Amino acid sequence: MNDYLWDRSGEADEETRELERLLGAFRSPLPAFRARRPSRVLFLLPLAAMVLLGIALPAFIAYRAAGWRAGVLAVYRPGDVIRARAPLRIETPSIGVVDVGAGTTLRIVDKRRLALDVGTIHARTTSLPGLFIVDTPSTHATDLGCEYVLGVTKDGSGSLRVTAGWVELGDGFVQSLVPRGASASFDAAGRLTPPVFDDASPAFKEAVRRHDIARVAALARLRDALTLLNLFSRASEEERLMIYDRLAALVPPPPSITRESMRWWTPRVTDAWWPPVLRASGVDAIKKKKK
Amino acid sequence: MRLSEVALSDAELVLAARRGDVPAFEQLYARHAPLVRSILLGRLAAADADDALQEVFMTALTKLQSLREPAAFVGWVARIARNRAEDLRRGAAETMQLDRDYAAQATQQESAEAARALAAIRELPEAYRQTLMLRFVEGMTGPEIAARTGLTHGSVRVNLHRGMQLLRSALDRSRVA
Repeated sequence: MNDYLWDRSGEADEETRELERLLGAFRSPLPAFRARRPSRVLFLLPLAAMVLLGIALPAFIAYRAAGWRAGVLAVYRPGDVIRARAPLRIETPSIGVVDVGAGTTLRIVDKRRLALDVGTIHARTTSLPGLFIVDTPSTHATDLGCEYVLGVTKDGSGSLRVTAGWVELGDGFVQSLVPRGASASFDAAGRLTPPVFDDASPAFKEAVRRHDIARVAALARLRDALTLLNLFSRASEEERLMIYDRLAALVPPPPSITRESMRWWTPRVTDAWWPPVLRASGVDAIKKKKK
Repeated sequence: MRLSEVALSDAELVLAARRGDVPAFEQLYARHAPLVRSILLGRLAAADADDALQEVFMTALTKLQSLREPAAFVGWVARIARNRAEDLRRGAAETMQLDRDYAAQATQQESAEAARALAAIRELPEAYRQTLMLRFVEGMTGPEIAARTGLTHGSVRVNLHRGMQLLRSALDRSRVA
């Protein structure tokens, strides 16, 4: 037998390598097992143990495993609404931990999806990228393996600040991929700002907020290349040319991305620019999305 | 020092866990979760397998007193996993789509190929399916698979060899189709 298949020694045939690569996508870090110590009562009261182990406990465990937990006993199921008067922590093994701020209204959509109507959440996920989604009234945030704070005001606008990994805000044609150390905001109509690094100058942030492309281009540092790249989807043809000129000066584009191609821009036109821009902006590559 | 903090056999860990040593049970989990996950992934969509993994070990923990032979823990927990997977099993078409979403990476084509390869392995007989799951999904070598499953090296070699032959045929057929 091929020794590579047995113990990875020797030459691997192409098909074996390909299967390793493809099927390795289904491997995930082992989630921590959170065992709860069985009650001493079980050892003292056999009858109670029979009832508890045989009927009540398995039913409760199955019920609990399928929902979001808060503390030892509380379990939130799809359709439940949390109106937090004080800070509250909810968690589920397949996703991670979500700290819910006081004054927050949060709906449980399902075990991998929440809806933040108003307030603030701080999410720390251990799940695979793309599994955990938080809806807001005007957009939604898809976790790409990360830690972030998401806030929504009463009018439906809000902001996202990412402290680890990436978050995809919005979807489809207009989206903001927000990396560690950056923030983005959205209005009540779902219009998104591009990601802006928290260490960018106040003048640059203000220019982005006002969509003053000329000023954005003038103030952009090398690290702000990511912001520029995200602006193409929000810009007019004339603005795209301005963005192109500045971005090309900061991070030379691959030869296939010409200035002329900005006139008929689609997301695919600038796909090949992402890797050098990410390197220039000093952020890690986006994790694989595994819905 | 807790008993479970030194390298112990499955039987010793089971006995310790029965006495309330939770870290002992966590050690059993760390040791056998890859095998259990490969069983679940052989029957369920990838995202559901992750959730079912926790449920299987919680069930094992609550029923640990009923395990007659502590050394047989791995076979026992594997049986719980198979039963749980049968309870949760979905239609094949839906499973394939969920796998494609789960494995979605750089291109749609790649995720479709990954889901197709996983679907082909699921169609193999149990012994080959299990061994190939551990080899390709969990990334174990043949000797590691033998150690985890209790199979002999010879059996694992046969399962890998014949399983690969069957898998190649299945993938060729699906390419033609």
